[in-house]
Amino acid sequence: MGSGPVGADVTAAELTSVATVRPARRLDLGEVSRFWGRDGRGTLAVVGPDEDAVTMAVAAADRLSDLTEVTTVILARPTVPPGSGDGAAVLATALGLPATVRTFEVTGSDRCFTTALSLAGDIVAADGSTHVLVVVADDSVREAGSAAESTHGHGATAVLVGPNSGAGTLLCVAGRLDPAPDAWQRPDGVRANAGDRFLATAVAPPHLQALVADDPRLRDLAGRATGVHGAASTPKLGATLANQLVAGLPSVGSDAWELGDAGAATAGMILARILGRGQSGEVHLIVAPGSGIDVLAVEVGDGSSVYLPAADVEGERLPYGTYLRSTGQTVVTDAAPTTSPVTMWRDQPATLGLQGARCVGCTRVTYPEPPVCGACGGHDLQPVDMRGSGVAVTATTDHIVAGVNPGTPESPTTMVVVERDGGGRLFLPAIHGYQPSVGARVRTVLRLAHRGGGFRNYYWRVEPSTAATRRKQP
Amino acid sequence: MSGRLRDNVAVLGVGCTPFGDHFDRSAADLLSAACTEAFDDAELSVDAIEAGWLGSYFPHSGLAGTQLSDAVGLAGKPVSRVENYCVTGTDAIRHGAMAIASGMYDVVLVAGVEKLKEHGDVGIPDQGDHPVIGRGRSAPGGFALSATAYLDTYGLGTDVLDVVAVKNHDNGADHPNAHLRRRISLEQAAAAPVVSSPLRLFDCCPTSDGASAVILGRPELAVGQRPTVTIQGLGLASFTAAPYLAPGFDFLSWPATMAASQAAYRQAGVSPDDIDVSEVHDCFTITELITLEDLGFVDRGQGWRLTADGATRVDGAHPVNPSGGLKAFGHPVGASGVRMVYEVVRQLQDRAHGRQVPEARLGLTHNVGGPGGAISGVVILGRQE
Repeated sequence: MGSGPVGADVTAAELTSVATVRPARRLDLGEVSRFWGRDGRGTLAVVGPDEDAVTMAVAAADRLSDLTEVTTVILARPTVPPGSGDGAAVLATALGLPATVRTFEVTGSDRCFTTALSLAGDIVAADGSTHVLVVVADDSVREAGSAAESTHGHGATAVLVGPNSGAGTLLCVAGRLDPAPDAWQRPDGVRANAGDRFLATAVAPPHLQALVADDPRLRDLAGRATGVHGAASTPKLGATLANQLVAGLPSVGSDAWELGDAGAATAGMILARILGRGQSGEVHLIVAPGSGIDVLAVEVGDGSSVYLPAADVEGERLPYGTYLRSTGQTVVTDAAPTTSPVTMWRDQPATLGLQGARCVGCTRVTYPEPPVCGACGGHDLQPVDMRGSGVAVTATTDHIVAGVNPGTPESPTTMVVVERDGGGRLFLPAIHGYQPSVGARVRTVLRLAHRGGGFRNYYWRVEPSTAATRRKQP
Repeated sequence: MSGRLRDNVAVLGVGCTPFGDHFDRSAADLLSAACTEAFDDAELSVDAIEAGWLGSYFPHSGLAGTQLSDAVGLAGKPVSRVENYCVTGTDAIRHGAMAIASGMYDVVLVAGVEKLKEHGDVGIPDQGDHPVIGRGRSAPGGFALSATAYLDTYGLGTDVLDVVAVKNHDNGADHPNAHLRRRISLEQAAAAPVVSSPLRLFDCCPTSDGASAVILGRPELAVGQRPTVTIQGLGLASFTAAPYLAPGFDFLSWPATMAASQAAYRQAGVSPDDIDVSEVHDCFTITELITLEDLGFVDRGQGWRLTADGATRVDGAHPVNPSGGLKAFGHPVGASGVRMVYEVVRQLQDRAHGRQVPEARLGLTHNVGGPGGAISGVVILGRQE
């Protein structure tokens, strides 16, 4: 491993751990097609009404091995939807990282992930002791009824870049820019793009040829690569891209697109598969088109610290009507009360941090932190991180709440009273579709609350507590 | 106060509009109608009123106490607006009663009004909670948490809730002022759509418009041709707005109801077994079941059995909600507590509109409100022989 910028010349950084996630909701493309009078089949993994790129980013990063040494967080997403605010800051706070962490957001193109990795490599090369968390997440909404709607799903991939070996090594990121607008947000929040075929067959080829011609290191890596993979919306387009760089090498199987692509996170999804299933020492190239083209070269590590979602996980079917409503493609006004920037800032320990308090005098734990202890009236209260696991004390699935409580994102909503492990109670909504019974083990998970006031408010929900790999809470 | 309240505050007159959909009547119209009936019942004119209290929960008037003053002509008199979740009306009565008991006034007017139909007909809108932490909460959802716990703890099915709904619909069908005047069957109750599990449509009271009024005063001012009814005990307890978040809260009882009722029993010098008729806060069927236990009518966990055995019917050992309760009579929030006193007074004077409880001499009204049953008010009324 050399030192210096990760650009075309030098390798620098280790990919300590990688995790990729797909949202749990499923869009039945047969139902979508029938709605539009067409025939179609298949399934897409899509965000539900309570998810977005930031919540997926949290879910992915939560599955990495250890974030205690992270000093920089880079959130990559192709577009920044209305009302988003500083997504990287929300991500860092929800992960419990210290306020001294630097945050960046890379956006504007489908190759935001590879660009972010390149940046992370440069940071690590400049300071060999630093750890950078890179997360790519794509929740782009494609226009209802369009062909893109039937191919583009959602997903997120988190990568811990730093000095420690593990999943793999970042060998280089070589790229060329070409400001063909590949991804932009319409005023109505729908993601538009120039067309994958246009990008893959017109924009990409001359740049790929130029990269190979001008970059000896890339030529060398291409010569000893075990596989080359195109991060496109379909396996066929992906193969077209890959062959333009190096013909005849194997690519990830088409099963990678079984639940649709993951938009800008497709490159991350492919990376995780390579590092999780490849043989140690293999070199792989990933072609990521965008406003121009990036080629990412990695070497497979020891196969550890790679999280891939289980292939047989059944997702919850999301009715197409619910999907249209939650993506704002029906006439719905969000009448949620405005969360002003002032109250959002002041309440952040309770909302993003889920911080309660323990009374020093009587040890009672209360959420949110009260001015005085409700049990003994004591004023000496110490903060308690209420995130984590607990038991459902009672619950109800409410079918009218969305009509009477503006800002409740969907109907029905299941509300759960949780007795937290370690003391204290929470009253939280369950993730969409989950109805815990009394006594069920649950755990907290960050989700999108609502978009009242025109910007995104995040809050916690509960999901089933399982044995799936999760980073331990601090 | 406890020493000066009992037997010293009489209900001189009562009035109540029909509860229901009053799209064509404003809050002022309803208040005027209810108060006029109360004046006539007391054989007094508005000039006799020295002070007033208005119970109204939703802030849609922006007029404070003047909403009552202007409706009945109390300009120049001290009039206050009271708000305390579903205990609003009872709390307004409490203020009026304390004013009489203290000797500050001889005759006061207490009224409650609500215009829920102005807000749409999905349910009571949530207005004041935190814009992120408070999302996902509704009135039926809050009480459904207790229903889930109650049925799970005692191993019961939702049929124990259906019995309450059928009984109260039966009672309301005979009351000319009730919002819902139709009988239902157990099968209809069981087949109704879910509102907030496990509560179904008929487990929930309707959203209603309506007003009610009572005139309180010194007992010697009471109309002579009928028995005088006086306040014997009055309790109000206010707990935290989130009791269900207290460790150990089991959702099987409401501490506020127990505290308020115990205070009222103590003041009145009576026990639960002495109560001949009660109007309790059955905003949802589960609320009535748990309230029977909290009021001490039956042991913990046996409220469902008391109901199933028919003891809470008009001809039973503990008649509960002979008017139909909130379930069938309706629940204009600020008016309900006042309406309950209206009903119990008429029961004690043998002039009940609907189901007359025979030989009723001691009555009780109960309200509980707020998330997790944060607040409760109880009034005990007795007939003077």
